[in-house]
Amino acid sequence: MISRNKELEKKLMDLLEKAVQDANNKDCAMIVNAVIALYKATGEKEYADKAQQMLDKYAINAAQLTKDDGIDKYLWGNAFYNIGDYSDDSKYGDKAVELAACFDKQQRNKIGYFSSNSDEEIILNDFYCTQPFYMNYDTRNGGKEHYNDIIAQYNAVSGVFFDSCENSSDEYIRPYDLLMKNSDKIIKKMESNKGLYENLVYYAASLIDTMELMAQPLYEIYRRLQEYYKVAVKLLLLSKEQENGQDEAVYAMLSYVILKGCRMKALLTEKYENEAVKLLENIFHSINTQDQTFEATYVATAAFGYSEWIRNREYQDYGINKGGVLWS
Amino acid sequence: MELVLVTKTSRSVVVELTDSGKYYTKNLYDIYVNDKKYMESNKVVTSIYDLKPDTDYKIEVKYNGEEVNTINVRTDYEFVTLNVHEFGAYGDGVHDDTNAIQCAIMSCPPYSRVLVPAGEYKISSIFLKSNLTLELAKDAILSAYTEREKFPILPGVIESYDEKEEYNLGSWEGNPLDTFSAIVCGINVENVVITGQGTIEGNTSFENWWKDCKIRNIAWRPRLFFINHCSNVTMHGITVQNSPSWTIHPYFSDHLKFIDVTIKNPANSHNTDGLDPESCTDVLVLGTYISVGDDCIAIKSGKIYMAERYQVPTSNMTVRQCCMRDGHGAVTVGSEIAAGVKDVHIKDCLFMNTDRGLRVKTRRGRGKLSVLDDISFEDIDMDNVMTPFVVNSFYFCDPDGKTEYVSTKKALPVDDRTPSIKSLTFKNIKATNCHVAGTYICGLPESKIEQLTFENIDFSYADDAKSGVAAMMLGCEEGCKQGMVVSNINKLILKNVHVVGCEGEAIVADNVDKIIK
Repeated sequence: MISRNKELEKKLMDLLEKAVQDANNKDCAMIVNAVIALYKATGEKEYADKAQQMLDKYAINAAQLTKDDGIDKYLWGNAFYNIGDYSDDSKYGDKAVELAACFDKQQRNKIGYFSSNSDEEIILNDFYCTQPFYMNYDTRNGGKEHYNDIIAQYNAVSGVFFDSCENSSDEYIRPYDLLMKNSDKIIKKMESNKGLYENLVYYAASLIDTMELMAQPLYEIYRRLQEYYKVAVKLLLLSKEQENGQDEAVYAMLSYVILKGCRMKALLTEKYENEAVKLLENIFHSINTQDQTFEATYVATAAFGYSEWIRNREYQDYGINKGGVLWS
Repeated sequence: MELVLVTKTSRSVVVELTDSGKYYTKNLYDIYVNDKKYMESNKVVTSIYDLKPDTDYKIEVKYNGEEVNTINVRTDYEFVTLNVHEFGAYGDGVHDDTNAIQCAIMSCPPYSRVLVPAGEYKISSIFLKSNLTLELAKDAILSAYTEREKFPILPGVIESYDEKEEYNLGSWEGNPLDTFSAIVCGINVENVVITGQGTIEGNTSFENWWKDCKIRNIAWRPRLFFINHCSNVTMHGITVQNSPSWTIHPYFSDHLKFIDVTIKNPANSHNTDGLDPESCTDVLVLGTYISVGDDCIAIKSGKIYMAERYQVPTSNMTVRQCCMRDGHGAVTVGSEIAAGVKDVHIKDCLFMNTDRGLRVKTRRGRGKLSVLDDISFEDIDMDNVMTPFVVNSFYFCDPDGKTEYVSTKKALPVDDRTPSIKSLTFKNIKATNCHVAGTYICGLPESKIEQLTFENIDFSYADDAKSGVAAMMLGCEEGCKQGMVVSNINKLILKNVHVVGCEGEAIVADNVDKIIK
């Protein structure tokens, strides 16, 4: 573990506790997940206890959540699972399963993925709400019946977003190379559409979080997700948008995405981590020096970033430090 | 009786005594070396040890005092012997001898041997080098530690700095995943011989590697012997036993020989296949005895990622004069066969007490490169095998193996995920004391088995036949004394096939386009 900054941790926890009080449902779930991420990175039970209290207080019970037609509710799913693991109380796992039942009737858009919008508009950050939990549920309780659906949803959106084609020859062509063919066009699109950049960050986060929660023997699916993830990160780093005007919360999430990818060996640490560390250091500086109230998303993403910042990225630590992955 | 030289080193010779026996000769022969009685043998493939280098020998075989056949052999030249004791190995069963043996191996010049004399040598993982002969003398035991912390890890994938390529070291069940390095391990080496009468002992039990064996713990379990991208490797004479997982795992390697090897794991051990060549070419398995807890020989070519990326099937493989007993299958093709298997021939073997004789395990999702072709079984005797022939295209032992996609018996559209089976031939086979079924063959409805040939086959059943499940697939009910159950085949050729003593119909065919008798 890279050395912890306990002062910063304390500040982050204070800010998270403050922010959760007025947060909307989505931000609230983000905050609880961020506290869990801090617990997983540090092993501090105090954080897990806090996350459990927050979950008990703020998560609308699963029965009510299931009545909500939106996409955001699924962000609670992994929080239920994680606190269930921590507390050994089966009620949390039951709630996760109850919530996952909504996937069966969840609205999909025209190209086939879960979306709050049924037209063809691509809302990449919907994936962040749905897919990591969908994967976690399917790995733990779903018999892996939906792995094909999960990869199909990613394939569908990637086909449209990256305007990519499948390899039709018998020779192996890496999906990454097929996807990067239109990189210039996508970068231009992002320059003119600030929201697209943010969407792509959350899409990349959904990919790395989903990869972390899947069963390793279905390796071809893992590698396909990794290709999408690498393309997303590459485009984000290539895009000039990074230097003109994204919110710091977006950069905090991007840092989390990159550092987690380094830890999981989805990215080469020596090539990618510096960029993420630089972004995060700016954010930590703001948090340390500014005595103001930060937005819930900002604090949550900063905590996500911090949780990966302190974790070892030099080697894959699955199992050795009980890194919180299901790869077994 | 024919007498043929199989292989030789500077210190040993292997001969084949062909008198129409399978694994065991029909008669007991006396072997004379330079006119002096050396041994008695009832094995078709017989090894002669303790010879001197670069020396002429007359090998003579006698039966009832009469000479039957003779050959003259000159052993290979040898430069030096590196005795591991001189490198600091204790061989006392206590001291960790890994480094001393590794030092001897790395110091070995061409045309030389590393000798491990009698004794128990505690090791974790030792690595082979090119141009090496490693000899385990009689009563020499390479005895493995079982603490996982003592073993190095072979990473599954290391990405190249330019991010365009990757370097694969570890492999677990068809995927490039982090695994502990094997007890004896070779990476990118060639011209290696491991020979002798000694043993590689895995020491595995249900207290260590076989405990919670389906769960990755730091990395996946080690093999007992693993070679990755190696060429010209021969394993001869030695015994390998109590393996943590698959016992011998050659991977993306070619020109391999396994001669007179003994592979033993308890019948109840987990996933302890005997010999699993994966994406290998030119493999000979000769005179080998295998008794294990899973499949005796399992021929593989990876799961879909490795198959698509590297497209290397296992091909040109021969298994002769082997004895396989216990275990789930004698010779299995699958289940990780996404790059296909072709040109594989099993001949003159004995299968005893296994759940299945030939076993093909495949399923939807293995992909369009998963083509099985030109696979034959000839001159095989089976006894007390539950079901001699099983072809299962709905194999469920995968994380997603029990999904509707894998298990449905309805025809699905043929796409990039659909595997295929072209030609399987079974000839001159006698299966006595069968239990569950004579054959249980299921192709995919959307991709039928193209041609299946049975010629000169005799099935008979045990008086006290046990019931069981013929194939590991959803919907396969427990049964007993079933005849030939076949489905989803284009052309089924049945010539001189006798099913004696089954209950019900001798042939139960479903969705078979053409039966030629």
